[in-house]
Amino acid sequence: MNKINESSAESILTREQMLAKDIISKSTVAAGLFNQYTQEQTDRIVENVARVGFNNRVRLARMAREETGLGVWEHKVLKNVLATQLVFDNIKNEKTVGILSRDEQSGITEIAQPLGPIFAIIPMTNPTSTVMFKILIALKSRNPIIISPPRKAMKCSIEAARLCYEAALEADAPEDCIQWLPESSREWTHAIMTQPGIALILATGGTGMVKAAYSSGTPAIGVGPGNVPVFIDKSADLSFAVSSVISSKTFDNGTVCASEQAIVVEQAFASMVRDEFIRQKCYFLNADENRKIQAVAVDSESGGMNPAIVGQPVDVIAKMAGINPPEGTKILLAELEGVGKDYPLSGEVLAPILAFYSCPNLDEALKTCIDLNYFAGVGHTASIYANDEKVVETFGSLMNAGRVLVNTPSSQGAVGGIFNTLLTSFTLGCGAGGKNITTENISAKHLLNIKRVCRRRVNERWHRFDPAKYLDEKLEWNTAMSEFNKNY
Amino acid sequence: MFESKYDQDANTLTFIFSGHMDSARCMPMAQVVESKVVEHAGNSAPINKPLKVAFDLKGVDFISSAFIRICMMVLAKVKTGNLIVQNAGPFIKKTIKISGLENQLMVL
Repeated sequence: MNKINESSAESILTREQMLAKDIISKSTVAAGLFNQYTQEQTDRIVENVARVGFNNRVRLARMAREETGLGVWEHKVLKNVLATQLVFDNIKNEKTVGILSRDEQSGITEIAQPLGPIFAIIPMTNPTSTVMFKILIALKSRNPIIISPPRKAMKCSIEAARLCYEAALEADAPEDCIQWLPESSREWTHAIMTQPGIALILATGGTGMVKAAYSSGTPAIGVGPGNVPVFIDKSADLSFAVSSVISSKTFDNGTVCASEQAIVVEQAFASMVRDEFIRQKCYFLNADENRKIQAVAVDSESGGMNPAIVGQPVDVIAKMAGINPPEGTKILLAELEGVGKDYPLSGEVLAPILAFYSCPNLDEALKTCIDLNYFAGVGHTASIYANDEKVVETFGSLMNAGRVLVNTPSSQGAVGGIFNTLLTSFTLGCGAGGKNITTENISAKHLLNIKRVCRRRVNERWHRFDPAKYLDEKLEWNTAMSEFNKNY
Repeated sequence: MFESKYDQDANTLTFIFSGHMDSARCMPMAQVVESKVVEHAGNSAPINKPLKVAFDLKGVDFISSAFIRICMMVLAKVKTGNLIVQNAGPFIKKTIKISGLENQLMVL
């Protein structure tokens, strides 16, 4: 790490810290300039950026697949469409500049205020779509943004950011409203995260990165791992449910953090579910194959997933493990007896591998889902296939998840816009369980501070009540409430 | 109030609770549970088979702080690992999980 002496010679800054200061000072200037933009100017910029991102969806998807070796390029095209067309569709009519609402009755006027420079950490699994998504919601809220590209997807992430920046400038956005780090390293991210000029960190990535964001002292919205349990109830349409799970878990080879991780069913129904998965070209591992897959899928020391299998198709993973599932197998299923560190496949695996649990009854199945949810994905997403509304509501009450998806492929369902009316987002709030302030899908509205101008209004009940009575120790709650609420 | 049974071979004392375990119901239970645990903990059990206490919550739909206090009281007498909570329904399981007591109470 190069160290540079500041002129004051008081402190020695690393090269990264010096350059970080420069990036942030440019970003701060951009924030000041952006503050003057009207809604119309802002919307013009956002539309132009969305258009350019959309028009480059295929090229960027191919670049991402080629550079990272992860996933399926056709699916990455769809992710780029979600991140541009559907995100734009969500936010295009949203008021994000100036007065948002004025209520004469209450006397409260709400005024939007941008946050300031946003530092966006991008995951390798969605390297171009997340860039475009975060840029669009930042620009819509008139915040400059600094992109931290993932080390293994530098080229495609920076290309996405560059295209967006050119499009923004073309629409008269402030210079430096979009910047990106020239390198990706812990030193760089730490140098930026800890700068006082950063208003918010939007962190999407591994647990370590998200934890670093929260530890930096800068406000952060961080999204870490999910561990999506899928309960298939006996009231579900089985063929539909299995087909839906397969389409979701194979989407981009399972790289979406909201993708299904474990199937949970009641024992009485289990053999039907097994047969349906097999009929739809999935493969149940025997005990020996289960051990072999576990050995390649999970790092035995850290207990986390092995990056080498992330976003890989079944045939590649099978080859790595030395097993021979039937040709054309879509998903590998591992039958497990428990949840936790002793059962490594019960955690998050971003590849077409699913855990499978057969439970004695409904209560035990729900308890297994609770265990999966709390083991490694608290606050994130849970999924249920059922047509019994009572079971759906019970499941919804029990899960600690920002999104409980019903009869929906969870990969595409959680990000919103296709199968439901959730806000389309590549940053899924995970609530307090995931150390977030919200369980919502993050969008432009989360990147604004809302000021409330409160005009004087008289609370008649307060003024009618003689405050001297409060000094009387004999005044009791019921009497006070009765007089306070008296309507005459 | 509740049922209890003792299995001498397993040196296990099982309490079977049901319904709403609110403060009003738990307060009088606490002393009874304690005296039964003390009585059996004093048995001349083999050293390799310390007393285990099992709380069967099959019919329980609510637990209060007072019930947790009973758990803690028993736990102090039999040590972690020897108090087992069994047959809890999903909502009670979630309550115990959120309370952070799942490992101490050995929820099965």
